[in-house]
Amino acid sequence: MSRDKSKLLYAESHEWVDVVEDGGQKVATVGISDFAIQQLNDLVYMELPEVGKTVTAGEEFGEVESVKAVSPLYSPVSGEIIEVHADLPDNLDSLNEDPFDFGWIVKIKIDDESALDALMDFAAYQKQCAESG
Amino acid sequence: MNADLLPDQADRTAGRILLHLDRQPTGATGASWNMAVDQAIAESTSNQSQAGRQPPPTLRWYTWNEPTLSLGYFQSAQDASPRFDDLACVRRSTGGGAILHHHELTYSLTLPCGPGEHGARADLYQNVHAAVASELTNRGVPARPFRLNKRPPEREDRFLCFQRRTDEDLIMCGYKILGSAQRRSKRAILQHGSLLLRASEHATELPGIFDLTSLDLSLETLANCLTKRIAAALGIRFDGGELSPEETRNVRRIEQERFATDTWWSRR
Repeated sequence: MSRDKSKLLYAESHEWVDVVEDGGQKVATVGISDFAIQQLNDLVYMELPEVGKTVTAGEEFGEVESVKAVSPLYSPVSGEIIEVHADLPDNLDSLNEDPFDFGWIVKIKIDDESALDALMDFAAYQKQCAESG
Repeated sequence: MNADLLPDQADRTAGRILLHLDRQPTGATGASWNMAVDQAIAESTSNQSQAGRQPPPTLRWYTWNEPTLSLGYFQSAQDASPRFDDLACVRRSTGGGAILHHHELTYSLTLPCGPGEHGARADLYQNVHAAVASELTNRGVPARPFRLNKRPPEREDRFLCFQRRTDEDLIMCGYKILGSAQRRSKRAILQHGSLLLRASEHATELPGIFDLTSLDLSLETLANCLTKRIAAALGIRFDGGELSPEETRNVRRIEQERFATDTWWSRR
């Protein structure tokens, strides 16, 4: 089933977050928004974190390169990386076509839900994108 | 952007210029020091910006103590040609291809940026390269960005940056003479660039501007002229300056923890 981008949460740094309950534990699936991918323009490299790594909201969890520019990816939540989309770095063209389903990057077992409060809903994120041109 | 239409110097943002030409300061140790300085500037710019202060844009011109191979951040160390095995080497934090730094003028430009910005700043590539092109054209040696050529894009997977062609690369007589790459941090962007002056004996196939023309300027003269052009293009007033004590301390830390380590070099 396709993700509905209007139901996702968004970080200021353009990562989308899909939070689901899994066995009493909240798990965040994280990707990069279509707006951001369009702006990144021609992604050529992506580095993923290792499964088991602990990440903190607002800190780097990976990196991408486009047009000779390296940009960090920032984790929108705090927790443990429980899964990475290992096929993604070799299929970055597909990220342009399907950022919200094929384009998921990591799944994070959330250990502190307070970071979710800082995320934007779709309307607020659209506003941010419109303001940034 | 047309430099002739830009505001008077008094209206410009105050910036900082650093010149590390010919010889590095006492205690500097070469390639890893060069990269650590740029990283320290980027970190302090980003941190100050995040704290709500307004850090100055910093333009730094520098050279290298010895011929050095620098890898783009995502390049594999194993892809390096054996012909460079005996050279000093370092991995950059910026993207793009490998560069043989020998007879060249290198720059780093670090600017604060707003929240939510990401990806390449094409305008920064364009403005800095246009500024360099205008100085060269003014001296009677035209150079122009590759995107204005009618040739198809070059293959991007060549190992050396100067064998690749991307839109904003500056081309003179069919040869690439200026290429740049960038690195984002939270609230700053670092742009590295190399202006090729002469061919290195380690890469004779890549001539520089002094090989291709009758130009022959000192590094300092060239850096000063280009600084004026870049200042005009970006609306910045570069007033001199030096690394802060905190940046100087961080250079040592960053060099020892990152750029001088085997782990950093062989991470890919």
